[in-house]
Amino acid sequence: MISDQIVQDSKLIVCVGSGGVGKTSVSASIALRGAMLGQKVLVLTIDPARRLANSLGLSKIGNTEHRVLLDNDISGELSAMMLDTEQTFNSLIDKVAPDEATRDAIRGNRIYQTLSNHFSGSQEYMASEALFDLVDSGRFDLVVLDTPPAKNALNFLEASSKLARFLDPRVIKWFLVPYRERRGIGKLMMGTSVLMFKLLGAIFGKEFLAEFSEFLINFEKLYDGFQARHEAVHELLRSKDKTKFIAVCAATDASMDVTKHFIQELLDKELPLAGVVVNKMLQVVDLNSDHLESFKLDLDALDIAVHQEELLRKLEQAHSEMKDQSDIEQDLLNEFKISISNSLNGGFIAKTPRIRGEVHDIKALVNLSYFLFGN
Amino acid sequence: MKIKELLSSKLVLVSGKGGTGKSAISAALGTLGAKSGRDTIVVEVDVNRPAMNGIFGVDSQFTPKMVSANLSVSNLDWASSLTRWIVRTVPAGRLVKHLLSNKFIRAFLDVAPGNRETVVLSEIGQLVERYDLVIVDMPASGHTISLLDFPRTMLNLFSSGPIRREGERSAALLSDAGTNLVLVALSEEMVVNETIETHRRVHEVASELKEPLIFLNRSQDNLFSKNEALILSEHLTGSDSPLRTAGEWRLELEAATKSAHDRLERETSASVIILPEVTHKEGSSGIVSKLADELNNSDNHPGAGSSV
Repeated sequence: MISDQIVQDSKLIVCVGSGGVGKTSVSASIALRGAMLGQKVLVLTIDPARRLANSLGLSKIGNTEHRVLLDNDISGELSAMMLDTEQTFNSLIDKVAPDEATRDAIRGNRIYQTLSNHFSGSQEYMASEALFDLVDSGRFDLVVLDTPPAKNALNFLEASSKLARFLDPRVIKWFLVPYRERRGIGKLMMGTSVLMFKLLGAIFGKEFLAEFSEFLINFEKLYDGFQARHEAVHELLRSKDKTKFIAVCAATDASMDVTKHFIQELLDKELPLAGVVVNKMLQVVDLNSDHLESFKLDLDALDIAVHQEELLRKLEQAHSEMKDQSDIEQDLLNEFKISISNSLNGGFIAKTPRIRGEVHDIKALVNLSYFLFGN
Repeated sequence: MKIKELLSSKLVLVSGKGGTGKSAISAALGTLGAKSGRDTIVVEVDVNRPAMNGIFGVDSQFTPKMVSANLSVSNLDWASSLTRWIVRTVPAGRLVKHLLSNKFIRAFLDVAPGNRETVVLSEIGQLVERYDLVIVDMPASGHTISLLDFPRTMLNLFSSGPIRREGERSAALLSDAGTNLVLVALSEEMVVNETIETHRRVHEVASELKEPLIFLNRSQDNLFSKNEALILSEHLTGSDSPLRTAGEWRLELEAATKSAHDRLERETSASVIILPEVTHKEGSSGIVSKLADELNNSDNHPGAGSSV
């Protein structure tokens, strides 16, 4: 079970996990718990299942928040936002550009247009950017982030350092040497640089390199803004006081395997892990003869012709399949608990039962929150 | 027929969300290809823990490893692929080391648009030359799109140089009649959404690529008759018997398969092949050989499992 304190004490809860494990539902449910405890909470999500989106009032993508209608007995507030990562790259440029001319020069650049879509990890980068803004705004007591599903775990955390490394002024200056050279700005190039540029020119083509340098000239002016934001995001994510990571997984081999590595990665990067939610575990009640007898009576009471023996045989088959599945899940969970017990370092392991149908309304989310936090 | 066609082609790109079972399907396709006597390789792209290790009991590396007759595996890790690519591309090979150890250049190569795609596609092209059948266990769907979109992007950005030539070669590879794309889906709403979206994007960015095949993995066939299903779902709603719960659980899985199948057929123009759930008890190599049987069967009994 998760302690309410985690929700009450944190500014940011980041839910990580592979796709298809119900991470969005768990994130929304944690956020809802915050609202039930009287907080103003925002849940930030990316491409959730449609019906869940509808229930949260997210009819369309866009970086605007929607208030979710809650019952009167819930004292806090819940808002939801679905992140449009393509839009945010542009808004980031708008934000960090020192003046309009630089902004227009960058946004109009063909290389920028390609880069903003193809930069490795640009989506993840934008997610961490938008996140920082929202936490920083002070408008919410708590922000819950449903991270984009990633097989390579914490891509979205990496992206920011990768981009910042690339935009390091030394890197940019290095690439700008030949450009300035042509315009008589620079002086003599270092011997190796000349060589490297010849090689890069041979690979990427001289035109591309020239265009790239022009792009960097403008981008260089953004550097300070970028760097400051990168550091701020970094600091927020590492802050043990403000931030908690929660890993969400399902009781499958693949999901638990990925989660083990997530947990290790969080540890390696010194990111504060609060615990693990094992979601959607199958629950089976063992069959006894009373069940069979009373079910027969139920069938007798129906006014419908049916081959009782046949139906019972099939139901027993279904029950045994369900039991097999549940046993597999339980074995996996036991194994999982053992293998992460050291890295978890006292963090929680909460499990939730598989709920019939998909979690797609507030009632189901409230229900899920009871399983996560208790009543 | 579809699977047979797939196995007699040159290149099969297997794509899908994480956890859909695309690695097991790639391995099963590879196993079938090798059985048919074709020299086959199953390739993963820059993964930290190759799935093929567990399936075939090897330590998959960049250099292909033979795991059984006619069947090899390889993991195209980024560093080795990049080195090889530069060796192929840069005229003066002895400079390669300098080039790669330069941290500015590394920073550039790590983020340069389309660079990963260039290198990976180029390496896949090399393998297509050396093997009869290449099966690629692709990275997550988003990356598949950028990989397929790559030639167009490159031809647009580069007017000369080796990357332009690579772009032309890759465009030719992707539009080759021997190249196929398989999208692996599950009967879950979000996975179906993503599959439909990927299918749409594939048409957009790689219109010259053949119509993809969709595998609906881990499907449930129908256990209950219509009448029985009706009784369980409508007439026994007051019962909390574990029997009814089990029946409902089973019906829900069946309904999910039907709904996923219907949506995929309705919202894409691809052929949908249904693959059943294969249990975990046999371990990953057992799953793969069972899957291979199922794939074979889906040709012999067209519509098998599609009674949904």
